[in-house]
Amino acid sequence: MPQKAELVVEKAPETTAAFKYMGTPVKVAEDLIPLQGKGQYLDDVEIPGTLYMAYTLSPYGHAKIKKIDTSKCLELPGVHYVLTGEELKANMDPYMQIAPPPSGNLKDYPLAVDKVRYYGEPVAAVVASNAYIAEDAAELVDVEYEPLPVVTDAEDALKEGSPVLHDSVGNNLVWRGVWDLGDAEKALKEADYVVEDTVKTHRYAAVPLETSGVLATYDQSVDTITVYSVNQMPMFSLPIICGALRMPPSKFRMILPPNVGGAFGGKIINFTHITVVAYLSKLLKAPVKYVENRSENIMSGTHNNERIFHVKLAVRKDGRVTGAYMKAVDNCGAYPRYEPAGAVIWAQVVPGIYDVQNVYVDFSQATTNKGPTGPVRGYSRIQHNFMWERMMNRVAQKLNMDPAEVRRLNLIKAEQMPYEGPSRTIYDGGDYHKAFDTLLDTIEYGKWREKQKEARKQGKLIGIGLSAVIDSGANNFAQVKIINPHFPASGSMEVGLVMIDQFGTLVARTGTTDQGQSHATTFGQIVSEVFNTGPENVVFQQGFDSISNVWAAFSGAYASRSAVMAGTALYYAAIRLKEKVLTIAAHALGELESDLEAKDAAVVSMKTDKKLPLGDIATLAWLDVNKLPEDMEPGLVSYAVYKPDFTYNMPDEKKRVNNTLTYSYAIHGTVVEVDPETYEMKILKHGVVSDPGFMINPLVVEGQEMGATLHGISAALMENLEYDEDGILLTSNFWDYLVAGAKHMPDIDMKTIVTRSTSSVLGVRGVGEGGGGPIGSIVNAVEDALQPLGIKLLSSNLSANELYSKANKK
Amino acid sequence: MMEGLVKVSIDINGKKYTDDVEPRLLLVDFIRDIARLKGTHIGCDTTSCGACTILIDGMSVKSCTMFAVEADGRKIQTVESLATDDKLHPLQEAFWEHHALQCGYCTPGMLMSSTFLLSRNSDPTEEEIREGIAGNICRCTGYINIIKAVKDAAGKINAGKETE
Repeated sequence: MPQKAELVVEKAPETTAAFKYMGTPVKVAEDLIPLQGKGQYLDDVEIPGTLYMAYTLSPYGHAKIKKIDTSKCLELPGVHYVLTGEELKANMDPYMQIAPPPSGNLKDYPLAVDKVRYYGEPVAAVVASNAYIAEDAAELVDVEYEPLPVVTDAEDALKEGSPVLHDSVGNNLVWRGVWDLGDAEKALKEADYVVEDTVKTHRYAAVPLETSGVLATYDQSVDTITVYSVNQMPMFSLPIICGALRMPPSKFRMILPPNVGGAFGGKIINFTHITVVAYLSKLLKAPVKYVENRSENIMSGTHNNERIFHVKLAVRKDGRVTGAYMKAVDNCGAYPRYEPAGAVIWAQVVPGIYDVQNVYVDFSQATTNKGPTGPVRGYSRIQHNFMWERMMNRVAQKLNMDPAEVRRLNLIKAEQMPYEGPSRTIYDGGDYHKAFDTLLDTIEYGKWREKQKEARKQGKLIGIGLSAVIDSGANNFAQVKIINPHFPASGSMEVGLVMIDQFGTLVARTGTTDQGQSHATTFGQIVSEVFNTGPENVVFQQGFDSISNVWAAFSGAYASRSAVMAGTALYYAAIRLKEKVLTIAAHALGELESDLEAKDAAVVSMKTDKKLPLGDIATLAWLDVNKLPEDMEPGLVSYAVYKPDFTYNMPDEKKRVNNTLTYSYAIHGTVVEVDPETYEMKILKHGVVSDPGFMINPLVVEGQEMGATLHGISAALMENLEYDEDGILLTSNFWDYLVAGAKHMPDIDMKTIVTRSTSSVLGVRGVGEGGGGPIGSIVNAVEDALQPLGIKLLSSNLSANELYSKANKK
Repeated sequence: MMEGLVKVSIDINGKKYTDDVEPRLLLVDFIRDIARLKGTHIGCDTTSCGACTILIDGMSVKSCTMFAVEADGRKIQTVESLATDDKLHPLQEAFWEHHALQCGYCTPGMLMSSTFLLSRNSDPTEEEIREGIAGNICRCTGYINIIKAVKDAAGKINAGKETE
């Protein structure tokens, strides 16, 4: 940022008491729209003459496509077109790959070409006059398959002789990298104990309640495709799509409707749908719409990465962990569409919340015959956090210590903040001990340990589990250079625009796209704060349009970045605009700028009480422009692009880089009871203590933390994408893929402690992805409950069935 | 009338909508595409998520589970019926007060299920509220604020009745 903005940073008040509009839990004004059924979501957008698209899906996990016969399909009245992978291949390039060759040679198209690689993969796209006919017609596409051997496990996929998914790559390795940080080998050699185990995270999905959808229309007069979509990073996806379709981004207009029905990471790799629908709209010269059905969304709408860790921890006899040595293998699914980014993003949280400087990680990622993975709330860090939390319990077991004591002993201390981790991540403040002790008090840890002893005497199975997550936010794209030094992206940026319209109303926009994070209210509070003016004078414009919106290439709502990135950009833009407003007012009132302040939609003189409403200033700036100070540019529009300094901005030869800007954290504690006969699990108590940094709107921040907690509980106890040995997904709708409902969600005792972020301008941290917390605490609690039976758990997903069979095998 | 089409007439929020429809047309599509009331949403295809919940003759129904022809001659209420003359329904007020929504996609269904619940049980316990919205999935809020909002709305509606 220019120098002027830097000065502003120093002026940012230290305490929330100094703020009038920021820091208060104001009700979310935009909630009123969906509350009355007035929201406009993707499927609500209509263009006359729209045709509807449906996919024909692969019934196999892995098979050669021998022949596609579309004749029957085309005979159905109302069918306009059938598109296959062959046609696409002739008219587009495969998507760019993040990974360098050989895995960068992988050819990925939005419809299967030559063979299918996962159950549910789109094979053909049928366009018809309405959605009912399109779905019928998709069933009539006759595909002849020759089944191929299937590999669903990532470690198997990397073995010699495994079925290979992509012939152009030659094997299933997407990427492998070794982090050798500090001296883990030495730590292991000198350790009193080496605690060794395997930890596994399971596959689940984002499943926002609104699935992905696209409406595309081709305008011949300007040779432009206009696409309405719900993509979370529209300007990042745009070059991926346009590169493949061989067209300039300027001929491809990306619009997001004002309302998006949740995303949680699951609306990024939907650029495949956008490509197909855009292609068809141009080909057929008609608007074409496609909305995923729930099964499609579950089969291919972004899965979380499964990961297996083989870990050795170096442990001193007092319980201090001095090093970690691990091999991790990540299951990418059939196509790396945002991957292998997940193969480095975990490195935002290398030591978890613990002070461990010697870490060795040998990380591989493999393609398998499962649905494609990508960002899912807590992307790639959840797995790593979970590994730490399981291993901390193993240390406690080995040393016969209380798991709370082991953690306390290893937590990063407040006086070490900001803490530079072994991979040069800079944890931006916080008090982990305070958060941890607050959590123990919140769940009455000591009392439950006593109760547990009593319960065990009565044959009851009660367990207590603890877990922590680093919920890192506002990513540095340079981390992707660890995978591919030629990948043309680094740093981060977001844009804010603030203007004052002709009547004096403050109007704000950013490049981020709201999916339920209450951007309008939160960002409105920032603008209000700068202009010392109530929300009734501020309009935040929701939605996104690449030809009229402000945007940066990284614009979007993902990686917990909106408050940190867009919030700061708006803050700067508002300050710049206020300076111009004060200059105009000083000129008009004949006063010194330094005697003026903005207040209640006006500029007032602290000296003479003279007042000029923003409406009058707007008249001068927009209309009566000859009265402006000499040489001043008319108009009241201000624009800022915020590009944070990560300190370690680019990875070094040891893969060290500060790969995100803020590091919020949360400690979770769960008390469970397991039924000794049915092995049903019941959460008796769940507590969360988090530190989101300064909260612009506490209501919104706590809502995000609660939502993340729900996702974690649901992932641990319910959601599981289960494939059989043929690569068939057994859980492809809401009857089989169970997500938590109101009856499954326990009461949550949630507390926040606030320390300002040392690295973000407003002191905020990105939040909302800490859903891994409950996964660790629940699995730890259930294992603790089952301790009398000697049952050891491996995975991050638990079912009564599985526990029952484990108990009865013994 | 085109062959195979059936004439259907449905009262939605006090207004009659009549059209010739395919027998297989889902009620939710009638509401969204023929009555053009977009507040009722579709979140799954399996009657699981409740985003399409409406009231038919006062009973809560998932409108993706019924054909439009089955609703012929019946009275339907959708989320658009709740606020009158720009005055929010107490449930809407309470949802707003408690930030019981984030993306808002499930909200219309949640509101209709809650309306039905309160019509049968004016003072539900927390457990009864959880039961009452068990057929509605929310992926954003974690339900806690929704449960609080329904409880709060019930209290306010009852207090209003007492003063009447």
